[in-house]
Amino acid sequence: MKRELPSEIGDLLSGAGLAILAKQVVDGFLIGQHHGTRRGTGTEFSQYRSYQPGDDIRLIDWKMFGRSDRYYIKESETETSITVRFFLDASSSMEYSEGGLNRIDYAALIVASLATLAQRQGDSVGLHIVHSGSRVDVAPRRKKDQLNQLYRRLESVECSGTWPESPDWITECTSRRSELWIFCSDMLDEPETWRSIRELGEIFGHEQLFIQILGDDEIELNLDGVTTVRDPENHKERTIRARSVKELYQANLNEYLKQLEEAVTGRHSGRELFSMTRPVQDVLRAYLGKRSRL
Amino acid sequence: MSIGITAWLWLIAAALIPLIIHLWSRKSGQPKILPTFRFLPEKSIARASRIQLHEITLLLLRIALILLIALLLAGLFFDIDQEVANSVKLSESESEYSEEWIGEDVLEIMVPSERIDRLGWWMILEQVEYEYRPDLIITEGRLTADRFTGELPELSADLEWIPFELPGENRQAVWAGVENSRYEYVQRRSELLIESTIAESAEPDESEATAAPFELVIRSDTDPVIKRGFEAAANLWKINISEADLPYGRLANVRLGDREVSLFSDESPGRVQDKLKPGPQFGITIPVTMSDTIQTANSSGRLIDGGQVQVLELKQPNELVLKATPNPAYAHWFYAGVAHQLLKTAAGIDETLAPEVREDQRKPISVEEPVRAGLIRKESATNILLFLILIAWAAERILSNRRGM
Repeated sequence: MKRELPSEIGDLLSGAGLAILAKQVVDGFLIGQHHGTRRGTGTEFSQYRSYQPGDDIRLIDWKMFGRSDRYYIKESETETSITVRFFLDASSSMEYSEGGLNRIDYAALIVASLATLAQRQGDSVGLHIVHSGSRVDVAPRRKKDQLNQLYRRLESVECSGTWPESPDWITECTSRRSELWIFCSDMLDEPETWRSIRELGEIFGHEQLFIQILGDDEIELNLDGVTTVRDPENHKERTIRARSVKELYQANLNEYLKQLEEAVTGRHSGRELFSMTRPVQDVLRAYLGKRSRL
Repeated sequence: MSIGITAWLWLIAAALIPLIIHLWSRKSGQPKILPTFRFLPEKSIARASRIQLHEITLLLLRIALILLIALLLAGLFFDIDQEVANSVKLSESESEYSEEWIGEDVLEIMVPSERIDRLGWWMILEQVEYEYRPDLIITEGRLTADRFTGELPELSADLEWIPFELPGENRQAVWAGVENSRYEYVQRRSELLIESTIAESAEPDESEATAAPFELVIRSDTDPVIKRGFEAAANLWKINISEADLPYGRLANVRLGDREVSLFSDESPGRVQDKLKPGPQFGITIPVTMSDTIQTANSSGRLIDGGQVQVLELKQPNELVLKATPNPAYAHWFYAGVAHQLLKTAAGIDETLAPEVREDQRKPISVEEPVRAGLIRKESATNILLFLILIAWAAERILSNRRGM
């Protein structure tokens, strides 16, 4: 039975531009739940504290002084903007397609939508397109043109190689500021690879969101009869009868997913598994959940 | 078991289709990219190459389904042996009911005359052929034209005819010729073929009809070519021809004793005019058809290549209507035939025609050995085949749905 695809995925399949699609997704998502993006210090009252020598006298609440004859400093919870870094997996396995939709295109749409949302919230966004051969970096900035540059990079992603085994490269992609790292990948590498990334992120004190994208056929092994399958990264081939191996395959996959979950879940990190037919707005929801913790 | 229509047997070759599809589907073609490849269990290779039992069952079911359909179309029937000969003899009887019994070598069926009159011989023969599929059908009875109406059926059995109440030689008419000689029109019936002869009889036979003068009158303004045709016929019959002013629409008049018959031309808009071309017997034996006869002409009346046209119709006992005219190039011979028929009609010679039997069916069967034990009653296997197809189809559906194939 043909599954009904979310409208943005249908549009993506029909070749709509990433920029327009991402904006549409974010606009549709924000209707009714966006609180506005007023920024600046002192908009949210937090507490009063006694004036200490050395405090700026401009911060003294004079009304309070009138009432109590003491000097109080009015403290507010300052809304801080953060840096959101996207790490997009561009290894060969991201070229996997299902029903005409490439995993890399779906991942690019997710990144574009999240970046659009982050930009609107005043965060600076950066992008790293990663595979074993080389890396494309778009340094985080808050300037207006940043998004367009991001879209351009996303639209010209080419997949090859594998995800780097060692996480050392990630040290070149961080700052001392508070950051949110978002990984968009099929995460089919060894769980240990992802564990070391998560641990590095924790050392830097960053929040991390791992978005794992898998196809329905990958999860359920919906193949007819006898089929020859090929591993896109090491090019091995094997002839299988899907029905015969399905049970063991799913057991292996679930075991792996469990290990992966354990590897990437921490106090400041979490994993979300998405099939390629899920609406992109679900990802935005997961993102906002993570963002609110910063 | 026998096959009715062998032409459909080529469909059996279609049974190879499921086999080819099956083998084709085992060839996996282009490999499918599977990034989760490493989660496949090791033993998948061994399992894939083995054909599973239900696959073979499904394959056999599909082949059987096609074979059954082919047999259904080919008209499979079962032979049920009966201890009788493989020939059927149909005999006309005066009784009200049909009776049948197994004779020494044949299955004899008595058919009431009323039934033959109602259905005609062809339909009865067709029924016998369908029911018993004999090698030989012997038909005994009155074999007259009125009993051979309708289409000639496709019969695989050989036919043998035993006519009764038909004299071997029948003198039909006697008249006085030009020089007051006595002439006879003789129809000889041998093997149901009519042979016509006009002969001068030497000795008048008192028991026959008294010789009367034959008079043939044609219009005085008749076209010379048509007139030549009439003259040719008059010459054949050895009678005189005269001209007179006949009423409008009347082409010719013939009188023999008290009997008078007129030839009219059909003026209806649908008539075939100036188109007839010579057929095999063009000119002298144009068939005369009755107005209530469905058949417009028999095969000897096929004047236009590939088609049959009604040429002469006996509307009333004394009215013969010419319903078609020939290509002018053949007018002479055509009108000779028309005049011949006009004269035959006036002479009261019956238009009994031989059953139109194919040449090979006319041949009597020479049986060297007595035919025994062989009349095979054939029962159609259609119902059984349909039932088997239904079962095979249902099993195929159930198995293929359950296995997702």
